[in-house]
Amino acid sequence: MLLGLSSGAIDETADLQSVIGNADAGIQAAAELSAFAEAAWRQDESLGGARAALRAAVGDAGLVEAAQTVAVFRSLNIAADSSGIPLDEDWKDAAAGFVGELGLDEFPTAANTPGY
Amino acid sequence: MPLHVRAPVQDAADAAWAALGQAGAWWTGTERVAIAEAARAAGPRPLWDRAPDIASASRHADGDDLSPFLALLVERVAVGPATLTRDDVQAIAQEIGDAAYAELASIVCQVVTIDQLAAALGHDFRPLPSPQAGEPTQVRPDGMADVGGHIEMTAENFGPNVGRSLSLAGDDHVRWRELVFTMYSGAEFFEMVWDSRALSRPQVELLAARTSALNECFY
Repeated sequence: MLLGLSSGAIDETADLQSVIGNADAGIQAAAELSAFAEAAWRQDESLGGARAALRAAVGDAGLVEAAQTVAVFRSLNIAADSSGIPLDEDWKDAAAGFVGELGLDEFPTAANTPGY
Repeated sequence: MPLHVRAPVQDAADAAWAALGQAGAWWTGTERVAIAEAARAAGPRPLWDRAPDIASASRHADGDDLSPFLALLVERVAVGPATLTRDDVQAIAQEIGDAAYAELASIVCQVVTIDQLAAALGHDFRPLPSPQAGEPTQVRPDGMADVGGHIEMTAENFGPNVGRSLSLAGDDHVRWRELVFTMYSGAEFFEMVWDSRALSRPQVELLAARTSALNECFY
């Protein structure tokens, strides 16, 4: 949801299918960002190349911010799922529009998420 | 040329790491380091490859090791939290205590954050701290309530629910939140335009959303 809101705020339109790997997001360095997120998540042999490609696209500071974001969301997901936090009231309606479209309601945690 | 994080991120990571070796509210320093070690050992395997069967695991611990039950619980929190139901967590909480469960999960979150950052940047993992002597304080934070999650959390909340998710862990939750604050949005969470950073807000949110989808995190 924040991807859509924040891209709209700077007059860009992010393709939300990129969230599930089905499209290029259509924002600057989207391909390198997605490849880095996937490689960093897997922590496999593809990470070195993905890191180098993203560094070339967004610079050292951008790469550090990207690494921080991936690290933070890995743990945010653990905190959310291990505690079973309810969906935020003000996000329910906004999320409804794209949850089914992206197949997010098929994630196991959809059933474990109070409020959905 | 090596990549460096900003000072606030380094400070938050240093504080979290130092506290891992000290007694917390419900676990000793030795137990906390063992939990950290088990979280690290769980590694980044895909979440769907297996959900450890913790119910039938032995509760007996040898020496400073975690019992098989606790080791599998840490593994499940680290790599399979999406499989945890409210019934699962309430059964675990009945056995070890809900606040001890929250502290365990909060330790996992801190280790995963710091290790994942190191891996993403191509750095070596930090050595785990040495356990310090001391007994758990057994202090439960005030202001907790059942707000519909698997465990109690702060009744009062400002911002997204995830910000209070493991608040039952007290100081460990605060230290993990500081990591999140310094490494993600800072004070600009509600600002949709970030113009003083290397990445734009949409670039950061693409990384965030893609990572969450890979984790199959619905929230």
